[in-house]
Amino acid sequence: MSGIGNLVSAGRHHLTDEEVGAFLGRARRLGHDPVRLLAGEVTETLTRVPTMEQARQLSNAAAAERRARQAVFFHPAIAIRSRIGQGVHDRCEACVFADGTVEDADRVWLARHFPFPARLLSVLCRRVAAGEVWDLTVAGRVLGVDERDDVLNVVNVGELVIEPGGRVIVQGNLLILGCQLLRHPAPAPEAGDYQLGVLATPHSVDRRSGPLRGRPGAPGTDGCPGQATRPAGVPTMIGFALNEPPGDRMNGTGGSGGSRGGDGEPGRTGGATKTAEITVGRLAGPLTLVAAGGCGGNGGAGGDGGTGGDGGDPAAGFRTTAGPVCPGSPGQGGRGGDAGNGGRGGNGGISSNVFVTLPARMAGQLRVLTYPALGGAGGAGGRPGRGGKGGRNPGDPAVPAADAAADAAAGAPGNPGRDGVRRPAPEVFVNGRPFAGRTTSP
Amino acid sequence: MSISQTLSSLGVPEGTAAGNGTVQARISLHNETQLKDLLDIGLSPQQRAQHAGALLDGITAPASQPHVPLLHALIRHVVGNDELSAGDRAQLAPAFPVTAHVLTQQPAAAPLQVNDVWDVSTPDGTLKVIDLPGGIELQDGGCIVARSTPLHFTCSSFTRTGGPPAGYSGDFNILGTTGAPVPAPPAPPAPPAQAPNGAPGECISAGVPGDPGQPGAAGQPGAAGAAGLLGNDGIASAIATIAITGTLTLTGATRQQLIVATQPGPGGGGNGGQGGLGQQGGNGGNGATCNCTGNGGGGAGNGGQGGTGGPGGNGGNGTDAAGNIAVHVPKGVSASVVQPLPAPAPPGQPGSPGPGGPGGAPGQPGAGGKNNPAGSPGGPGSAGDPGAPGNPGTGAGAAAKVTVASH
Repeated sequence: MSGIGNLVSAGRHHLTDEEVGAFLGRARRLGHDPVRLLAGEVTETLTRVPTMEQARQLSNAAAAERRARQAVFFHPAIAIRSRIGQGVHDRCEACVFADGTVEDADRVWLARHFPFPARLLSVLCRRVAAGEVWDLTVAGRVLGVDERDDVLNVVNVGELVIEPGGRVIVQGNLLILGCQLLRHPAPAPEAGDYQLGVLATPHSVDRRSGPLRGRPGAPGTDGCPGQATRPAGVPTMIGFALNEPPGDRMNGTGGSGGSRGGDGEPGRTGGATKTAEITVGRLAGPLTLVAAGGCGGNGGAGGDGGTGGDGGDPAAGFRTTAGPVCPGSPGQGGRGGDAGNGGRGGNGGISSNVFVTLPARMAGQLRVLTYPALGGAGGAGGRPGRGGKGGRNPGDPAVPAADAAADAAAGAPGNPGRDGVRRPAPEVFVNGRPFAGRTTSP
Repeated sequence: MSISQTLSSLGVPEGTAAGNGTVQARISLHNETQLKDLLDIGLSPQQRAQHAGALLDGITAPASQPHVPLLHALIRHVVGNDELSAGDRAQLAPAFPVTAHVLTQQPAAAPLQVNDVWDVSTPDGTLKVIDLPGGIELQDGGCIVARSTPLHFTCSSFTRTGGPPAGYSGDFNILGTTGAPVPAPPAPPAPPAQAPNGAPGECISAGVPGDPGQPGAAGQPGAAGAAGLLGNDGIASAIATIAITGTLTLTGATRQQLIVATQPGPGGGGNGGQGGLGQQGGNGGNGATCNCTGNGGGGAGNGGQGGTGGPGGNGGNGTDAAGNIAVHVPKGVSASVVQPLPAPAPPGQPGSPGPGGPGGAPGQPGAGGKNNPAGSPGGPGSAGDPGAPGNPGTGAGAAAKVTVASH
C-alpha cells in the first residue's frame, strides 16, 4: 500500500547532483516513483517484506560496515539474552543490520513473522522546524500486528534539516534511516538537547496488560460507629418507670474496625528500544544523538486503611422511680485498618544496538548521549487507617472525660514497594566502533 | 398557697423574667410533702379525691411495671387525700429527690401569648409544672403539646382565639411518643474480595502455546440480610392536670370549645437489614505470551447475585396511657365547653423489608497473549431480592380519659 503525503518544496534543497542520484536510486529500490519525489511528494508504503534476505537488502550498510558491526554486535548486554526468545530476534537483526547468519532453527522460529511488516517512506527534503518533533514511529496496529511485534521502519530522506529546537525520534521500531544530507544549522550543541532520538516503545511489551504505572490499591472501607439506646419505660410524676433493667444498652457499643487497604499493583517493564541504523551521507553542523532505554513503570501506591468506626456515645443518665440510672460507658473506637503495600517498580526495558554511519571526517560533529533503562520506583505504602474515637460522655463533646473511652489504635502502615531493576542503555556504534566520547546518565 | 408561694418556699429564686414575662427553673423535690405542696391547686378534700380518682380511672398496671400500684398510691396521696404507708414511703425513697421543670410568671405579668406550637415536653419525661397567674392567650395557630411528660398546668385566665395549627387537633395535646426507631441491622460482612481467578495460559515450550487462560469463577451470592428487629412499643402519654381558675374565654375560638386531644404512643417499626454484596467474579486467566506467539485470555467470571434483604421487623404495639387528664374549668362554666378528643395509639407498622444487596462486579477478562484476543467480559451479578415484609404490631393503646370538673 502506498500513499502520497504533503508536497514539500523540492526546489529549495542543498543536495548535490550525486546526492540526489543516490536518494533516487534508493527510492527506486523501495518502489517509490522518482518523478513524484522530485515534484516534492512524500511517498509512503505500508507493506510486508517476504523474506529475511529482502529485509537485509533494505539496510544501507556496505559489506565492510556489516563486518565491523558484526564484530561488536553481540556484546555482553546482547549476548546474555541469546537463549531466550529475544535472542532469536537479535540473531535475525544481526543478519539484517550486520553480517550475521541465521540458522535453520531460528528461521523456523521466525517464520511466523514473515512476511515482515514494514513501512517505507521517501521524501526529498524534510525540514523539522524549531519546536517540532518528527516522530517516525509506526504503531503495530497500522500494519495489523500486535503492539508487541516488531515493525521495520525504513526512511529515505534526501535532505533532512533539523532547525535548532527540532527533533526526529523513533520509539521502538526497527529503524533504517538514511539521509544524503543532514543539516543542523546551530553553532554548537546545547547541553541536554538532542536532534535524533532512538527511544523505547511508549508502552510496555511484557506479558501483562494495562498502563505502565501500577494502579494504586483500593482504600479500605471505614468501620461503622457504635451506638447506645435508652431503655423503654413509662413517664411518671417521679421519673421514668423502666420496663426492664437498662442493662448494657446504655453503654455505647464499640466501633467496628476499618478494613485493610489493597496492595498497589506492580509497575510494568519499561518499553523496548529496538535496533536502529542511521546513515548520514553528509553532516552539516553539530548533531546530538540520544539513545535511551525505557523506564519501568512506578509501582502503585498501597491503599489507605479504612478509618475505624467511632465508639458509641453512652446514653445519658436519668432518674427513674427506682432511683437514678447512671450514664452508660462510652464505647471503644474501632481499630484503623492496615494500609496496603506499595507495588514493586517495573524493571527497565531491554535495549538493542544503534548503528550510526557517517563520513569519518564528520564524526567529530557527532555527540552521543545514552541513558539506561531505569527501574520504576516502588509504590509508596498506604497510610494506616485512623483508629476510631472513643465515645464521649454527654455534655462534654470536646474534652474527653476521665472515664471516656480511649481512641483506638491506628492500623499498620503499608510497606513501600521495591524499586525495579535498571537495565543497560543501548550501545551506540559509529562506523562500526563503540562511540568513544559518549555520555551516559546515571 | 399558690404555686408561686410554694416555689418561693422551695427556695426557687425569682429569677429574671424572659421577654414574655416567664421564669423557668429546674427544682429538686426531696420528699412526697414537697411534691404535694407543689401540686396543690386549692381544692377541697372532696375535690382532691375526685381529682385523684379522675387521673387514675381505668389505668391499670401492665405486667412489666410492678411499681405502678405504688405510683398510683403516690398520686392518691399528693393529688388526693390518701396517706402513704411506711412501707410505701420506704419503697419510694430511692426515687427522691425528683426533678420538676417549672415555668411560671410574676402575678402582675400580662397574659402569655402563644401563637405557635408550644411544646412543653421535658426531654427525660420528668414532671412539667406551668403556673401562669397572669393568664394565657392561645392565639390562632397556637397550641400546647406535652409528649410523654406529666403536666401540671394552672392559669388564672385562658383565652382562645382561632384554632390549633395544622397537624394538631387540640388546644391541649397530651400525647405519647411513637416507639423509637430501631436501627436496621448492619449489612452482612463483605464476601471474600473476589472469586478465584482463572488459571493463566501456558506455554508448552518457548514459542509453542499450550492451554489458553481459563475463565474466572463466578462470584458467590451475597449473604442474606438480617431480619429487622421488633419495633419498639410506643411510649405512653402521661397524666395531666389543666386548671383554669379565673376566666375561660372562647368567644374568638373557631369551635367555641376548649379541645383536649390525647393519644398515647403508637408503636414503631424495625427495618430489615440490607442483603449482602455479591462477590466479584474472578478474573480470567491471562493468555500466555510464548515468545513470539501466545494464546487467548480467559473470560471474566460473572459477579455474584446480591444477597436477599432481611425481612422487615414487626411493628411494635401501641401503648396504653399511663394516666388520665383532669380539666378544671372556672366555677360556673359548663363542663360541656371542654371537648375531649381521645384517639387510641395504633399498632406500629412493620419496618421496611431490607433491600437486596447489590450484585457483585464482574471480574476482569484475561489479557490476551501475543497476537491473541483477550477473554470475554463478564456480567455484573443481579441485585438481590428485597426481604419479606414484616407484620404490623398487634396491640393498640387505650387513650387517656378526659374528665372535666368545676374549680
